[in-house]
Amino acid sequence: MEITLDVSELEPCEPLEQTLSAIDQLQPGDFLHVFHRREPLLLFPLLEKKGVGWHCREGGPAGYEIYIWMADDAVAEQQVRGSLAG
Amino acid sequence: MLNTANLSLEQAPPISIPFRFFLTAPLFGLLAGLLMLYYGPDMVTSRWSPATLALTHALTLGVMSMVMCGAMMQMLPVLAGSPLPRVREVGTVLHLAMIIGTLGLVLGFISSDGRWFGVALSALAVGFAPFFVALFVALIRVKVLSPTILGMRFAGTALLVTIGLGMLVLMARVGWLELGNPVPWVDTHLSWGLVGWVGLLLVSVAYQVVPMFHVTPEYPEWLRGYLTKGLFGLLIVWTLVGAVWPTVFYQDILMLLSLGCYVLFALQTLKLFQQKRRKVKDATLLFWRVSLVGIVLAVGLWAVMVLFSDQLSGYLTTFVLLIGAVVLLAAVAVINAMLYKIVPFLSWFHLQHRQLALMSFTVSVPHMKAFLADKHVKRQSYLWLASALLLLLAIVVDGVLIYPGALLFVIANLYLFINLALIYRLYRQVSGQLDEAAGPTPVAG
Repeated sequence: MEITLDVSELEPCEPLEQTLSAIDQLQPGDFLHVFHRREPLLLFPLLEKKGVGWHCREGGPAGYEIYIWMADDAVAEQQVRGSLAG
Repeated sequence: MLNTANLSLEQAPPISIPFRFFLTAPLFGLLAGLLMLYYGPDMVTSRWSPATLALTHALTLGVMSMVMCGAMMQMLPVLAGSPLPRVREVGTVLHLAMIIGTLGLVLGFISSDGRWFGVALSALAVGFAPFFVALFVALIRVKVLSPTILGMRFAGTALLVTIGLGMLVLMARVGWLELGNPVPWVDTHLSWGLVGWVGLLLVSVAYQVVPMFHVTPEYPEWLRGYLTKGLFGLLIVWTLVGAVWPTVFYQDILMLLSLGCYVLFALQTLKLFQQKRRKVKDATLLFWRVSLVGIVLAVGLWAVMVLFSDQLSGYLTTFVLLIGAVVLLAAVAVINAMLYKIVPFLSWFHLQHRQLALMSFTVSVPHMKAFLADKHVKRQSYLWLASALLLLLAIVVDGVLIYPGALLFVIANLYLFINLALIYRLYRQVSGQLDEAAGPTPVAG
């Protein structure tokens, strides 16, 4: 299931905090679809440490969208690839 | 793997490296204030007075360059995935060298004892040589050339030129070499220092800091693409004209074009602040707005001075001092504002990263706002701005106003130091708690 999170109008460190908190609440099969106004370069090293998969691309309502899923959740990853292709 | 980001906080220096630079800067601000208190109105009689030269370098080297060098060491690995090689050693040596070098310069100017200049020259050479090597290696190795990194390349080059010229002037002063009339050398040194190093780096960093921390739109692409290139190019042409075919008229035109670039940047930044997406109260905005308006006014004053220099002949010293003071104070104010965003953020970010590395989830990392209360930012900024106003009035109205201005400047810098020290103290406390919660063998990170 897709969980959307719009952090595009928040000041640091809210976008990072809310994203990390939302990741902690992901259920099996869920993926996070984050909307942000900038490419969140500082999020990526934290995501790497958390052991999640992610993909960032330009687009979405705010400028950038980041898809995040638990690295061992093949179902969620499949859904992300489906969203990206579609 | 779909993502290609190549960033790792392990590549960044330990937080104590940039933080020692950030914490030392307000102490030199304090020294600047004490110099003003001691020398009083003598400071505002001429830009060549020894006390004024000491003050200028306490601010440009001890405050501004101190923060800016520390910031570059942190930003290059985090923003561009390109760490400075041997950053711990380079940073440690540079920090000590800048303290000794700046103190040597200040003591040299106020005592007229050339041996202090010898100390300054040696310290700055020992500190900056490895720093420049490491910096340019990191700047050249970046994989993606953003406008910020390009601007940093220009700024780093400008710093090299500034320090090189400064050393030549100093060596001539102590009789180690012959330069002839020092004035054009000094003017070139200070132009590369302010219009080049300080201006270029603050603009490049603002491209990141303003949209990120103040939730504004990005700077326009055309500005990010051309501003620093234009500025650097103009500075080079200005220097070559001055060296090969010194003509005041053409040099003034070129300098006016360069300063016009800063007016453009200032107006665009003010416009971005107007377009903030969320109207949250931001205690650092006052620093920014006053500084940016100050820059526009300073350039206006410079243009008036250059265009009407004959009619203003009796007031030229006042104009020069006023313009110089506005530019220096504006730059220090912008740096002050940026520190209030960068230092709490870096503390929070390093702790988040450490928590994930240690898996110490029983300890919660404080929210960024918990590191520094808004009321302290506001009070310190009001004190600082009041001192700046009094110092400027001391130049144009009555030199005696330098005393209350300098006193407030001392207090404002002490307040800034305390604010930053408290942030670092909270960082150390939480970092210790994370280590304890992790168990006997914490992972270094």
